[in-house]
Amino acid sequence: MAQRRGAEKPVSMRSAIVAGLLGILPTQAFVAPFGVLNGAIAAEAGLDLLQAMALSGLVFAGASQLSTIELLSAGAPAVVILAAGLAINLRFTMYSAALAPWLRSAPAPWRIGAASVLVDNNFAVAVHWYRAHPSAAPRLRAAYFIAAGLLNWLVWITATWAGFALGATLPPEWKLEFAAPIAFLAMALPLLRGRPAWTAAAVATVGAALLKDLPYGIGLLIASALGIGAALLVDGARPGADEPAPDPEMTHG
Amino acid sequence: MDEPALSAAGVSDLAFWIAVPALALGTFLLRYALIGLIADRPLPPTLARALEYVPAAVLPALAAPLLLYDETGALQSDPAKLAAIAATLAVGVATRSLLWALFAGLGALWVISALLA
Repeated sequence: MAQRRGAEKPVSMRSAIVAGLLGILPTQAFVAPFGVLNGAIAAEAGLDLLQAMALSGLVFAGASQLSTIELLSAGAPAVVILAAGLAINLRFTMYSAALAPWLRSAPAPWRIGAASVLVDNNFAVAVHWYRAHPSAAPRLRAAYFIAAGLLNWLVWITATWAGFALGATLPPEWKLEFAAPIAFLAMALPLLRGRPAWTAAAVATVGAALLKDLPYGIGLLIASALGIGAALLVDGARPGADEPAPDPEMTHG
Repeated sequence: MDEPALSAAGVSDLAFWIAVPALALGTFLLRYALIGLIADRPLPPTLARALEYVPAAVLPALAAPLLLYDETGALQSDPAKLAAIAATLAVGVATRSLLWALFAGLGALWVISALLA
């Protein structure tokens, strides 16, 4: 620490927590309405309040929550629901890889705490803060992450509850059943940078449309695997491919 | 629980309570994997690239059958729903923002539905 940068103030535990709370705050403009939508869709699909809150509180990942609700409504077996949800949430492992250099020397409880609340938007703001404060101790980095993540989680479950209460009162003319697939599409589009990603999306779309009459979930898994394989083929044509660069500000959950 | 196995809208409580705790645990392990367990090893490049494309493939594959076909299995013909797809695509590609794409899609869905009602 002898060579602390002149411009950088030393970071205290308190200032790390405050910075985490303030850093995540603007992103709540998205988290809150998306949580409300998730809760409303859960109510529309016939989940009870306990189920809706368990989904948001324990899984805490919007896209996989919506896929779980869709597949449950379609009567898919639990193993397909699980496989689809885990496939959607695989991106957290990429974030986990990117966070490891910053957090791996923090004590285990701090790392577990940080991992528990890891989603797209706190990953994005945390990496930004870590780069701006390179001298912050690993424990303080974890504190930043946990403070941001807990606020995020509280807003998410509160919004889910509000949306659930609202959802039961929404008229069928609102076609709320169409909100989930629109949300999937809206989540996918910001991820489509470069030919391999577009190839993955195009192949998976055509495959899923053609295989739609397979028991729901099976076609999804086959089409997704075909899409990923096609992307790797296209990607393999450029050996110096960039390292994976998640674009976490674009999506949540 | 007092409830029947199937709630009113046809969601299986049994499938829910098997899948959701497993998904919660599995998702935690995906989150913790590299922060906590194998922090000193970088991912093999091919695996890292495959991970990168997983959401790009899975999300459209989830959406496509629900967007392109109606409840009877016929091609989608509801003008409000077609407008919602077009608006989401246009705004999503133009802005690369989940938030704006979602607002545009749902806005088109509800505005066109209201106009045709």
